[in-house]
Amino acid sequence: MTTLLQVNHLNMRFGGVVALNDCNFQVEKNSITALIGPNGAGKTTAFNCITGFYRANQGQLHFFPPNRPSVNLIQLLGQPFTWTDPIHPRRTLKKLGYKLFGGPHRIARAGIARTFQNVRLFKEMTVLENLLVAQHRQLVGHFLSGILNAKNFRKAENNALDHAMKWLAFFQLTTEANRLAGQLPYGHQRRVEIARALCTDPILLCLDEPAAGLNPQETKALSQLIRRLQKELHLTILLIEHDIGLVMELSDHVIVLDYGEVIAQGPPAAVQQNQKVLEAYLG
Amino acid sequence: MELAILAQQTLNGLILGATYGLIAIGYTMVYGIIGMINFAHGEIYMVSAYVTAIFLAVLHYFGLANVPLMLLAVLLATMFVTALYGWFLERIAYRPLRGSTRLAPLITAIGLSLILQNYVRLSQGARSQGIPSLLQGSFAITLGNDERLVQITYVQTLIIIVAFLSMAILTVIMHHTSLGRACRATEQDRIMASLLGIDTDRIIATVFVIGAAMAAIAGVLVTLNYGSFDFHIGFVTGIKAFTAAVLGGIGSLPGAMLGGLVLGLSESFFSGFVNADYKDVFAFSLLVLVLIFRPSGFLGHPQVVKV
Amino acid sequence: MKTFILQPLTTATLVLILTTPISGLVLNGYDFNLKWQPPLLLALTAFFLHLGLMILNRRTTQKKSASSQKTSHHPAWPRLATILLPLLGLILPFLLGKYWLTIAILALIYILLGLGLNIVVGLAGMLDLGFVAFYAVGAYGFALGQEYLGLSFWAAIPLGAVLAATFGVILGFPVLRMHGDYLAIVTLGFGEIIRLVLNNWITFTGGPNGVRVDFPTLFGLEFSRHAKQGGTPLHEFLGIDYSSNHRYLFLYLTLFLVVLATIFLITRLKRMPLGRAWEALREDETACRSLGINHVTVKLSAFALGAMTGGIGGVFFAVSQGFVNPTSFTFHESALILAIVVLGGLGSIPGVISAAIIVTVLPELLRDFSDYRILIFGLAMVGMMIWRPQGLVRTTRPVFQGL
Ligand SMILES: Nc1ncnc2c1ncn2[C@@H]1O[C@H](COP(=O)(O)OP(=O)(O)O)[C@@H](O)[C@H]1O
Ligand SMILES: [Mg+2]
Repeated sequence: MTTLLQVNHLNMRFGGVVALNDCNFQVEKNSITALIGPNGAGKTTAFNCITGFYRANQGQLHFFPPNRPSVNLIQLLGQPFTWTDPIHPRRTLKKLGYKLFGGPHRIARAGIARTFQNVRLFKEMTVLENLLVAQHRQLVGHFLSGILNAKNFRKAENNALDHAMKWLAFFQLTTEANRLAGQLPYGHQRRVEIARALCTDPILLCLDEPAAGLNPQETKALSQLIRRLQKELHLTILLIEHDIGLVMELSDHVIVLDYGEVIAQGPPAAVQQNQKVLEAYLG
Repeated sequence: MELAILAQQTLNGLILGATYGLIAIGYTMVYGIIGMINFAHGEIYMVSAYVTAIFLAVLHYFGLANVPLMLLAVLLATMFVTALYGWFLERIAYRPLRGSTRLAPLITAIGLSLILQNYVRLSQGARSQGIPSLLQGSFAITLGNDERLVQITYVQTLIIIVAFLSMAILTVIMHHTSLGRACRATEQDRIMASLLGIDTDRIIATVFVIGAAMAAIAGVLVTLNYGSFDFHIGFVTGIKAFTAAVLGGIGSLPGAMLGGLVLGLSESFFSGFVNADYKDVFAFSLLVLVLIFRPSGFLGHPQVVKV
Repeated sequence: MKTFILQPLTTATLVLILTTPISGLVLNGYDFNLKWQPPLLLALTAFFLHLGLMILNRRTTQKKSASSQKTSHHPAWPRLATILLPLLGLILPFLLGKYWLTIAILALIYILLGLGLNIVVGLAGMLDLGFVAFYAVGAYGFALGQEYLGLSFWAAIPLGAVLAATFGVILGFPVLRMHGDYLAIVTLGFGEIIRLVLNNWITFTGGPNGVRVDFPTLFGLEFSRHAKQGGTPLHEFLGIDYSSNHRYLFLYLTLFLVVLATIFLITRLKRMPLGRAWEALREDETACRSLGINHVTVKLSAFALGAMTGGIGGVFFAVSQGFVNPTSFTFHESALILAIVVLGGLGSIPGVISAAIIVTVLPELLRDFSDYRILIFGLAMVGMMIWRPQGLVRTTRPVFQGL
């Protein structure tokens, strides 16, 4: 087993609220890792730090994509300027570069895709368009040929459409392709969001409560799909979930957060027996 | 002599800054509570200048001659009517848009300011209007050797006193009454506040009313000071008051006053010592620079966008 | 039933109290005149408006329960129209007199400006309140370029576009990183800065007096009765009678081509990754970033493209007026262009075109109402946002078939 994501000493505060306090954990390659904990424990905040939407106050986040150099995720966000900067012009220039061009999108490009707790689709666009936007990076190069609607643009566009349709088929959404995303039933929206994240060809897929608001059948179907993502497509999945049944059935590794601290981690069966975890959930 | 000019510009800056601060309160409170720039707020101020003149004329017509009484009556009546305008705008134009797109209330605000401007222009004519000067006379502050340092008119004194008094009263209301608590709770978390039984719609309306009333105080004071106004004055003053709100830290009440004073003083010094033609350019550039380098202003908190 | 009278009555009373001081008591020097009609009229309007709305609301809530979900994917702009309308536009100027020709040119300029701002506001969802700045940059760029450097009209079109885009990028780059509505106020401030500088820098821009602009030549052919710029007059070259219409015809046709090209460009862009990314940013910026899209560069491209269109519009404006001065570039102008985009339905090209034509032609037809023009636009903007935030025509989404 090799590590894909290494989280060390992660700290995040909002004013007086300590949302994450010295969190350490790792995500193994090709595993399904679950992040659980009571409401307000800091799970979403951890996701936001990993995917760069929040800048962690302290700590390191390292991503080790296979066959590529490792990535320091925090650096991609750019560092704040300090008073000593004028003495180190090279460092300052680098900072400036990250400040201008850095941000969560760089982390997404490094291979980490995510969904959101409260579904964030482009509601006034069709499902297919949603998935095409996710492939923006592969398509945007064909600018001139796009204006002229030339052959290589059409080819790239068709490839993107095929790719999108492949994921829609995977999630059984083919019939919804041309509907407005905002008009779909909630369960479908959740799946469209996952399909959209997958269109970016990620290495690590982070799912924030993917089963929230789904009925038991939908949840079961979803858990099978997540399993297939891991087994057939060799993706690594990090997921936040409240449905303990789902977590126990699906995950290889469970991390329990409470009040911003990792109180237990390990295989699901071991975590289930852990005294602290029982206390956190019951007391 | 240099010192005298400096002192005079400082005084002008304070006066200017106090009025900016009063208007900025409307921007800052509305932004704090619904996260939206109420562009029409500058026009509310403009309306209050007209209302001031109209009430003065009416009182004059009925033969009221006691100046302090007249001023008090005009202040209260203007505050009432202007606050009603603020309430009305919120009710018919902003409330229906809650939960609409982010762009919608902004566009509505632009539409409202066009409406208000042209409503006043069509009703009152395009030329500038004025009021007779009611309070004449001034104090002179002198240095030891009888050299005159600065001249403060009665109206200017009144402006400073009224502005700071109303600021103080507002602060007390916001911090020591249940209404103030409800306002601050709604500002923190609107959904949570409504779950706790606070009528957030009413609180938002109240904030519009308070903002408009403060703008009305500014309108009365400035009108007394300059004596003339037209239907255009809301636009530039509005942007500057907004600048003051941003400078002080949008969402912060003391910040609004502080930002107003800083903007007033720096604008007054700029026009006194650098170039009076470019004083508006200076103020707008200041706005742009602050937004780029310190969007949280002096007293605001840098905000993390909740994902 | 009682509320049906009571609520509108309250509204009417309120409006009466509200409007009496401003519209009922009109200042006359230090005195005032009493006018009782306007407040009563306004109150009466408010009464019936409220009543009407209440009745309407009851109807629609009753209907809604019965009606089904709407999915309209009809092409909004049938193929026939895309051929016929440009043809009509080409024929039109030959049927118009000089007066209406100048108005048609103005309408085209506003179409161009509307299309430009539509990219920024309608597609990318950023409220730009200082659009007039780019218009001014184009107009003054040409006027001053001609005055100081002898810049020709044909060179000014691309240069004006590039200059405006550069301004857009310089302003946009720092501002577009910021979240939310600050963009609106910064662009507003920027528009005012440009106007004030143009107004106050008298030695360079001529201040309020403005700058004169010469009419362009076409391959050395001039549009005046007698050659002034060292070429041959067009009418002599063609062997026809001189008509002052020729120059307007020429301007109309050139502008028409530019507008067509812009429409083509935007239609293509809407179906390209860049255009999709604009709309996606409008819908949800956070989601876009989670998909690896750099929001700053994408927004910047929209901003620069909009600015470019504004700049080109400015060049044409300068030529059509023969003269530019700062009064043409006030905030009202920005608001007018915004009104065009909003009334056109935020994002819809046919909408923007029709709104631009309405906004420029209607005041000419209804001369008596010209005073009320801006008031009406303001009312329309507010009404649109409340009742039809998606615009008059809901923009249709592209449908991908055969999959
Ligand atoms: N942007 C923010 N600003 C202030 N507080 C926040 C923000 N995001 C999260 N928090 C706080 O951090 C804590 C953890 O929240 P969260 O990570 O959403 O919990 P959960 O485990 O339920 O996903 C909560 O107390 C929440 O109020
Ligand atoms: Mg959460």
